[in-house]
Amino acid sequence: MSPTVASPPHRLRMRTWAWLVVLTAGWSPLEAKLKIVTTTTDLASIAQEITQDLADVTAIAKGFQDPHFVDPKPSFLVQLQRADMFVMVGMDLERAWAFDLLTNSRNAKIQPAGPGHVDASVGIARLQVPTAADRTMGDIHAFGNPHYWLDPANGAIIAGNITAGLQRIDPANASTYQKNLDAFTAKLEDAVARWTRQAAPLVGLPVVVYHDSWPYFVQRFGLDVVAFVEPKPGIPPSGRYIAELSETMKTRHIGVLVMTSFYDDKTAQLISRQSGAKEVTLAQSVGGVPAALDYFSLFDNNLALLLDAAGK
Amino acid sequence: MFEWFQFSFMVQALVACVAMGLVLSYLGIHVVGRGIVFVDLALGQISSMGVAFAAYSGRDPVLWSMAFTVVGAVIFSGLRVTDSRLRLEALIGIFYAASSALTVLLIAKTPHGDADVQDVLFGSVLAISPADLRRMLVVFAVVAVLNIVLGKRFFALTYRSGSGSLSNRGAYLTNLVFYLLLAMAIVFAISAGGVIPVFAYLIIPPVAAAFLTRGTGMALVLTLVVSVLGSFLGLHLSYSADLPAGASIVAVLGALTLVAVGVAALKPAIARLRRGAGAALLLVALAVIPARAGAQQDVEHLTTELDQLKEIVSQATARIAALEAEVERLRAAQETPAPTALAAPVAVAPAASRGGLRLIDISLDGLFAGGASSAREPELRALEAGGHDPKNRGFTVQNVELALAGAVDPYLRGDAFLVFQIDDQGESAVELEEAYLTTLSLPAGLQVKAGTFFSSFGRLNSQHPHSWDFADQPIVSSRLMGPDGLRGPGAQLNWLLPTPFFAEASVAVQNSRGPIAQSFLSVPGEDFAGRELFERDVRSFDDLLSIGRFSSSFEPSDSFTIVTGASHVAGPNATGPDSRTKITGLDFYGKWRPLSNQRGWPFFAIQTEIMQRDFEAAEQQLGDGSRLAREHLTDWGAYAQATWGFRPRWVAGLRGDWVGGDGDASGDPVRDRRFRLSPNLTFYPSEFSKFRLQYNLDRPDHLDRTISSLFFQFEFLYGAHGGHKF
Repeated sequence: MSPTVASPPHRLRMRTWAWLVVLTAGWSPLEAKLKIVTTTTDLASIAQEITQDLADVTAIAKGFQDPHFVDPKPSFLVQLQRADMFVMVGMDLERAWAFDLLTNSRNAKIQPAGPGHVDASVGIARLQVPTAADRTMGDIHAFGNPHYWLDPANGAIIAGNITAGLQRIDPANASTYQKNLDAFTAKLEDAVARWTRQAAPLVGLPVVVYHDSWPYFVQRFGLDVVAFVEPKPGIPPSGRYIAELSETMKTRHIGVLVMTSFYDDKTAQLISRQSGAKEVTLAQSVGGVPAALDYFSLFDNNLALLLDAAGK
Repeated sequence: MFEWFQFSFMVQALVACVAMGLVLSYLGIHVVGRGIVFVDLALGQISSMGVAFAAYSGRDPVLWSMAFTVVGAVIFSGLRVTDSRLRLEALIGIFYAASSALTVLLIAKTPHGDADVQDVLFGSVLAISPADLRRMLVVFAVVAVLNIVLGKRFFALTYRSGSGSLSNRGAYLTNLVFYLLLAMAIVFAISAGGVIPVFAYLIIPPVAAAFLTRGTGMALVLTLVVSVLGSFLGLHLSYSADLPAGASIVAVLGALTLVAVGVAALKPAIARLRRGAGAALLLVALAVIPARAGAQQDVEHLTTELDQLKEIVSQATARIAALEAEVERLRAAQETPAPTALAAPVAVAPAASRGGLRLIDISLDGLFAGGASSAREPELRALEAGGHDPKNRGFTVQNVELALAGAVDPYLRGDAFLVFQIDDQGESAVELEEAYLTTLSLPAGLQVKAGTFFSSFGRLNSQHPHSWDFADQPIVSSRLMGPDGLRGPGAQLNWLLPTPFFAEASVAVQNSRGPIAQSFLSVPGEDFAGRELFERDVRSFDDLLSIGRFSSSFEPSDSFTIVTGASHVAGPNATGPDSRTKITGLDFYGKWRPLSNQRGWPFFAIQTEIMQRDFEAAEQQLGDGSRLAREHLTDWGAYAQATWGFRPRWVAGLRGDWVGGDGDASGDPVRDRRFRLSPNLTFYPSEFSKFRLQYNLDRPDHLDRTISSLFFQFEFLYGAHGGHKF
């Protein structure tokens, strides 16, 4: 009788199509910017330096999070499904959660064999590679200590690996990436020279460290790590161990206790009270403390805190 | 010998422990006497809800946690249970779960709320500050004085002895005052000592005293002696043997109870009491049950089984060692000499070395349980119907799982899980649990899984026993999915939808035969609901299982994640040539875990699944000439569980199970109405091992009595095991 009788199913079909278009737009190749997902914020900061405004970079772990223990939330799968490139620290740091996410991302580009997969540890001079290891030693890393980004000189190697990955997946902009890499490396070289000068008073400074995540940093700036609060990596200290450690710190006049923001602060405070040492909470990653905004301010801030605690 | 007295923090800890021990164990006499042992955990949780509320609304946390706890105490003091099927304990459990959930919701809406709640709940005796200690002592002094003044009235209420002398109103007021004192003591003790030592102080000394004496006065003295002795010896053990303080105190209290049991065992007159309180302590139960079973034969049998298992394990170990050596050799060969300091950036070809070489991941997981139950063994096997549940008095080899996983080529990944078991008859069994390929590089968010695998139905069905949060599987899983879970050869297509949030749809076709598809073709010759199961051929697609699932995930905040799902499976059943079974399920999982956690702690998770099965039972002629008409049998069931990682390495859990079937099913152990409540406590020395203590309070219709079971589960995992899905 009237055309409106027929129109509802028609309109319904239209709406279905409209929805399908909206939904499928999610993976359409029309978007210009590359999507890069990194496991940690340090990698994200460096990747942003190399890509500038050519890519959107997001990190899975927050800077104040322990990167060994990240929940493989379903929303990360969604991010990885749409990523053009995936950058990881490697050396087993993310082993507990990253590979399962990768497998289920259904994204061929970023699988370990794919062009968009970057293991930033390639070419790093590894420390503490065990010749023999078993788990009675606690939570050890078979490929060496993975906290290599805490030596700023390694930042250049990380940037090199990321650049190589970018040039594979986006050859059109290869020269731009190379230019950005050169600029970053130059800036980093200046900064490392400046930090080394600033840190001169720290050479030989005896410190106690909570968890053994600082060997690369310590090697670069010459601190003397006398003991760890954790008797073995990942094993919390007992009362007796705390008492003995506090005594040792008093007798050997160790005035600085290096803490990482995500570990048990109560124990550190107790040792600090017992031994009279000053507790310094350093950022292990960009965003670990509010002042560590990027890869450069991470070191600016950590060194300033250490110099302050050492009274120098 | 006692050089630890030199350290002021150890002396402070001792003062705190002795004070806690005296006050809490005294209150514990009433708590145990009234059968309200979970009131401690519930009040602790309510106080943390107060802190969460304070953080959310910007108010003072101490004041508001006290206010909340007082309200909780008022409610608990007024609770009356008149329905004989329920217990006060169950209601308290519900308060525990509800307040935990509210805490999570409040924290989800509060920036930095996590830290405040942790401060209140995760005290450490060694780290107590002088100010906290003073505050605690003042509160304890008030509690102690009021307990002395009102002691007679409290005991009258607990033992209902002289209750005639108290009016109803008087009894109510006295009860209220008691709960308020308990609440205050718990709030301040937990902030200093942590939940587990507080729970131990409250429960263990009165139970130990009950083993030794029946006199009220003597019990009081012994209770206080045990608590002080436990504090002192516990701290001494902690210091001299280099162990965590809280756990040492709990261990010493447990050991003292064992001594008490030994003394009690010498007096036959106390045997009856022992049976009554036996369920309270695993150690006691494990000591008593083997003695009762007492069969030398069993021990020999178990020894041979263990030898066989050792053989299997040593073969697997040798294989792992060989492969690890191979990996090491290849890695060493491939390692590039590394540049020093600020070397020139290296450009790397895509095929170059990438951190670790991952050819195949091999791991072995052993999951075992020791158990004691008030059900006889045949009854226990019907109650613990899951294929990997602890089914024996004594020990059960639940699951020894060899996992082999790795990339096959750039396009496929392979996973295989071989399970070794020693069944309840002592026979070794090997089963192919799963073996499947997964595609890595299909476009458009698609993924294919093919081989033999657990059906994607609900949450728990596709998880392996060692990743369960409880020692046994929910009743509804055993009944509807089957003892070994729903699994079998087949193929599955998964699609990650292009939505801004996580959404995944999957469809699968799998075989419908065997004990691994019990609600479907199952095993010919067996029976279900009085009907025989026939041999049935696959004639069309309809004779296979079709399974569909949709799940999605949301994150209300960075530290709070929700996953929901709906599943459906349809397939043939073997009661007739055309009869069919359909199962529908809904599931929900919510987890709170602050981003800045310590190796994964703290966390709080809620998981629930509800399922319904429509079983079309065909018409059958029975042997005696009678006829069973065609009918639809409906079974339903649900479980809800909360797990709370309250301090690093410790997880407390509580699960409720409800199942039932229509028609006259009250005598049928696989269809009757049944309720089960299971609290448990798990200690994880590391990510690779765990020790779990679980109590099951079970009310099945077909047995018409309440069953208590106690399980002690332990697990070890070594080799390279993949991470688990969220």
